[in-house]
Amino acid sequence: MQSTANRDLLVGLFVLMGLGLIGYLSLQVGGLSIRDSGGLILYATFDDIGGLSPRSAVRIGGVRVGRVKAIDLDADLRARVLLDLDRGLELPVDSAAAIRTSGLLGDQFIALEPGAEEELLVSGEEFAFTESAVNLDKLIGSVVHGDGLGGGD
Amino acid sequence: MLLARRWTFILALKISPRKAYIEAALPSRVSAGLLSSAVRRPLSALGAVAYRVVQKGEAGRVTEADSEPAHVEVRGVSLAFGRRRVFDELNCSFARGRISVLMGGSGTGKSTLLRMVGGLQTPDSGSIRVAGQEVEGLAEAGQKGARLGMLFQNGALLDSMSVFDNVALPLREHTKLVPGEIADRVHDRLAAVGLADIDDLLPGELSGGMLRRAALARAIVMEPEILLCDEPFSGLDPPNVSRIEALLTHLNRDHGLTLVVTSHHMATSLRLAHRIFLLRGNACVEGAPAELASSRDSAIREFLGKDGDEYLAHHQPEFEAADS
Amino acid sequence: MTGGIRRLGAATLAEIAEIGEVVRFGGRILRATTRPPSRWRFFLAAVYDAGVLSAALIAASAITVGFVLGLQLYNTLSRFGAGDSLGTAVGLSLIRELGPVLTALLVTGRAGSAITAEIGAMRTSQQLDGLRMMAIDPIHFIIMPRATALAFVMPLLSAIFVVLGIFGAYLIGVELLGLDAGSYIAGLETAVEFRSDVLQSLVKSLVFGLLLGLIATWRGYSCEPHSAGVSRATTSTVVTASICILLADYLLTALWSI
Repeated sequence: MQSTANRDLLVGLFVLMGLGLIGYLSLQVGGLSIRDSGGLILYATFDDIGGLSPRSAVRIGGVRVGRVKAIDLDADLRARVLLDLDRGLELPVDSAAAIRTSGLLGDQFIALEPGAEEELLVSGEEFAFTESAVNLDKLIGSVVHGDGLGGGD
Repeated sequence: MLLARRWTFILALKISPRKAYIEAALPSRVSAGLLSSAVRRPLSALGAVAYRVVQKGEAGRVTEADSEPAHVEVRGVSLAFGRRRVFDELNCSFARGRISVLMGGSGTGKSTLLRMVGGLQTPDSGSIRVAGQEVEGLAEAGQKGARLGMLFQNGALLDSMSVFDNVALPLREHTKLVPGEIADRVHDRLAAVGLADIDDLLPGELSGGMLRRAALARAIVMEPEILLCDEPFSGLDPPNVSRIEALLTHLNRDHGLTLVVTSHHMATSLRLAHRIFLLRGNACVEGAPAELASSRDSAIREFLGKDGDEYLAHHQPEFEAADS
Repeated sequence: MTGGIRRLGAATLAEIAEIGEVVRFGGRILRATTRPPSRWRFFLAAVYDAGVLSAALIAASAITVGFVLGLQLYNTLSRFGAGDSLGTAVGLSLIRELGPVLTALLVTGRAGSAITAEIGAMRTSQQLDGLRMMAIDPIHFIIMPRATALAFVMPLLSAIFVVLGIFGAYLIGVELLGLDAGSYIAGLETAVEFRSDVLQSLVKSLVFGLLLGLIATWRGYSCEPHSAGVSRATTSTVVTASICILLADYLLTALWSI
């Protein structure tokens, strides 16, 4: 009976570990949300989002604070990005959102620049200041034509 | 008087006009065409063949010789494995409360017939009835355990389970007995076959003789009416053979079990059997041991060999005079 | 010439007939899952044999595959200056393909063949017939717990493989080659989607497990009852299951990308 009990324990541990890893892959790596996020939902509108995609990271000073949930076009045919930010994050109303690239060819992410106002952004509001992706083609083009460094809004 | 009638009946060799019938009756391979009715008459006049040939479409008539009621009835059973026909319209019946031994060379289908009676093999056609019921439907009717038990050649105990669990298995599956009652019954059966203190051993840890007896305990734990034994003596040393033989005799005599046994263990079979069924080709010849042993059919005598002679030396048949 | 064609025809017909039998066999297993009594203890024992005892093999293989992926993909990616995308490349290849497929192939060799051999030996030694004589259905008693256990452990083992593979590549990429840990993890988490990647991975390994459970038990159940038959059945399980798993992988990948 001792060996049966041991075996059952091992089976239990094995199943727990397997389910745990499936959970990790689904929730953390796969970004499946079982809860309806519940975090801070904010919009940011850009002229050019470059290679930004759903599930791209949102960072403040390099620290990950959320992710891009969805991207669509608004009525003015500008890219409207839905950000799903960590619960409890407090952002002043004059904060800015910029699309940046990690390294020269790396992944694109949204960098948030916190503002200074007392008043805070609440879910459903929109960033007042945004900065589009640096478009490499445009950048090279402007250097070649001697327009000086440009891009952005 | 009754006895005399019976022997007369047996002496009258019944030959059906069909081919398989005749082939089965003849030791040499004589083609059916040669056997005109003229040839057949002197053959039966010889009165040499003191057994009945049971074959082919004789369902209605063959049973009349049996004064004992049939417990298992095989009617018109045919079976082929690929192109090899094992049985062709086989008829035979095994009497209630008797020990019937199936004999025959290898490949004649002894074990296959036993498997068909056990419902493990479905015949291509024909019917097999156990106590009047088709064997196919026994399991669904929940009666298989009460009717049939089977002792397999190598025991067939589940080797991942202890001996106790093996014997207890049918009780746990099919009865509502509480664990205490199950344990009592299992120990009772194990004691009956002379095994004690082996509850926790695995089948692989038993000797051949013990394994066979443990398997016997499992076969009878549900108290079946009929026990099928596939080669119960093969691979055992003489003491174990006698032991199994004694157990089987005891089960039959004291508990009234109907036994159907396959065996090529000649001397033991002749001692054990009330009736012997000799499978040859795809026919079946049956008779009491003494009848077969004193048969003038050279093929039968050859098959029984010196065991037959020895048997006769100790059991002089009373009907010898009838031959002359 | 006609002889060859005739043989081909006969072989094809035999193959189709066997597929029909396997489907019926699968149906019987399926019906057995709902029939009382539950074979919970046997299921647990089979999960132990097929799952727990395979875990070490899966873990070791996964780490090794992770090392190899880390080195190979880094070499390729860094030629295009995209060494930072290692996490993305490793994650996607492991989750979508390598995890489920390699796990299924390893489990086929480790547990599938063992189950075929066990059932084949039980058939050879008439243990299955013995059960039938006791009016116990071997499909319910022996086959069903093992087939369902294979299907059950496959996604779990696959998850272990994927996570340890990612970890192995992390060790190479970050600890050995000096990539940034943050960008490895971020690349992984950004690129991998639940529906298109993780769910696909889980469905694949479940399908592979069902296939292997069916094939391994069928081969054992239908093997010729002698030792040569058992060894043929065991080999045939490995061959048939491997081919079926690879075919199913292609079909599922194609279906998923529609």
